[in-house]
Amino acid sequence: MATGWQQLGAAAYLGAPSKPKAPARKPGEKTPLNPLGYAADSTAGSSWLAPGTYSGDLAAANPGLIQDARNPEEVNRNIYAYMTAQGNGGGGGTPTGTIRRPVVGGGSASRSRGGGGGGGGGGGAAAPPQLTQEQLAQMWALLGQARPGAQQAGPAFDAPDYAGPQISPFDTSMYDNLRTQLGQAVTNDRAQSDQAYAALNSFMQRNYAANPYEMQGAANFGQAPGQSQDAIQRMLASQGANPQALTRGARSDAIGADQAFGNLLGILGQNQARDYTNRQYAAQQDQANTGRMYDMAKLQGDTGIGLQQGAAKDQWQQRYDQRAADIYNQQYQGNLAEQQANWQRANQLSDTNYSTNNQYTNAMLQSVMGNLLPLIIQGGLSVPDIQALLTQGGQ
Amino acid sequence: MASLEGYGVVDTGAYQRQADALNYRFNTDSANNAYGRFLSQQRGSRSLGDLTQNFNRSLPSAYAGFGQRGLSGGGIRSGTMNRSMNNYLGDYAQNYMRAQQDLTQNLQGFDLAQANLGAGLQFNLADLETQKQNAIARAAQGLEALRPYFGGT
Repeated sequence: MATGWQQLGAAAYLGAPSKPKAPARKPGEKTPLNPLGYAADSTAGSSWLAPGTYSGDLAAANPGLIQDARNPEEVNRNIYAYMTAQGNGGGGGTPTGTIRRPVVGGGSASRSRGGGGGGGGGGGAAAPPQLTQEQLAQMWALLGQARPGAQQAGPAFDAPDYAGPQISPFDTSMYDNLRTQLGQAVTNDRAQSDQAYAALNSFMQRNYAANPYEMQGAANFGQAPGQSQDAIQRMLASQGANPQALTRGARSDAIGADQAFGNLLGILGQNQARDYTNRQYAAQQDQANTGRMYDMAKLQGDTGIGLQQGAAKDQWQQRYDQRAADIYNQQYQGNLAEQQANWQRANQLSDTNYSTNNQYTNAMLQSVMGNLLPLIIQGGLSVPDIQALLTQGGQ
Repeated sequence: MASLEGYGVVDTGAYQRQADALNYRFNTDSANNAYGRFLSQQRGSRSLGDLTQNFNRSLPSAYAGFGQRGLSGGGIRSGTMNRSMNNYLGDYAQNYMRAQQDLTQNLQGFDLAQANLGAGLQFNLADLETQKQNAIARAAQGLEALRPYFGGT
């Protein structure tokens, strides 16, 4: 916001717009800064000398100023003289000399107080301040350096990222224990099965140690009770008979009967042996089937455990994915808010910087045009680089 | 009281009782068969002894009859007597041998019965043992206890 003297200078340069009528002031009330310091109608309360006003205070404290400044030019001279006396281009203090009213026009271009030719300086007025080229250059540099710098946004706002609740990893220990127990049970049962079939084979070998049809003491005609064949032969021979002829038939019948019986025993013995062999094969088949049964039971158990583990893992994965989605959304929203806030801040600062810079430029140009330009013209000085003035500074 | 079969525990006592019953029956049947063989052999031996005795007693009479008819004696060679005596002796030998054969076949019958008893015992004991060991081998106590956890029923 422009300060008091800048407002005075700017307003003086701009001339008097169709200003609104100043509100009536209460006694003793200091008016807010009267940009004009004077009024077209020198009514009380609106003059350069109006007590209580800023310009009035200046006038009261600095007798060397044009006491009855009637136009912007005269006001500008007063301001310049005062500022110079304050050390802006000159020494500190108050104007000691009297500011000479400008001769030409007298500034009464539009506010003529009657009579032509301006009033001339009133007796004893001091010579208007003169500005040297060096002073102008210094002032020009100061104006450029005094440009307010751009505000910086500072470090960007970065809030901590949303991490979300922690989900413990999927625990497979229970399912691993089940698989271990199942494997141990199958191993134990398989060992018991093998032991049982080993006992069976051992029993069958003991049980079939001898074929019951391979008997050694079976009855036969050669060992029939009673007289032996030799005795019968001898008896017949002793009676003068032919024993071979007389016993041939019976003997052949007996031999045939013994052979028939032997064949029967042989058949039955082979049958018994075949039964033993078949039993061994059957035991082997049973043992193999039992082993496959255990394999199938283990497979079924592992499948059941796997299905249960899969279902549980699916539920855990759903929770995990949901958590990841939540974290992503939270982080996105957070990043969005951070960037939006930083963007807004940057825009605000940019707007502020632009506004401040523009205000300063306007005020500066107003001051240059209003205060310095007349002095430059009057002193016949060279106008420094205006472009440098517009781009300099900003620190 | 809950059965142990559902837990895979085999009642081996039942199998042992059945095996004992088989052995008991075999022993009794074997004893009966052996006694019957003995009796048969005794009777058969007696029959053979009677045949021999009768033959020995009747043989002199047969010779005496030929002498009364003048077909035998010192210096007499009778074809009729020879033929008759051959028939007589041959019949005796044939009958005696046939009796021996019959006795032998009776005894063979008992021996066959004994062999059948032994074979039957072997068969039944082997079958019983097979059933027992299969039951033991297929007992799944551990698996049954864990089956509910595997999704089984």
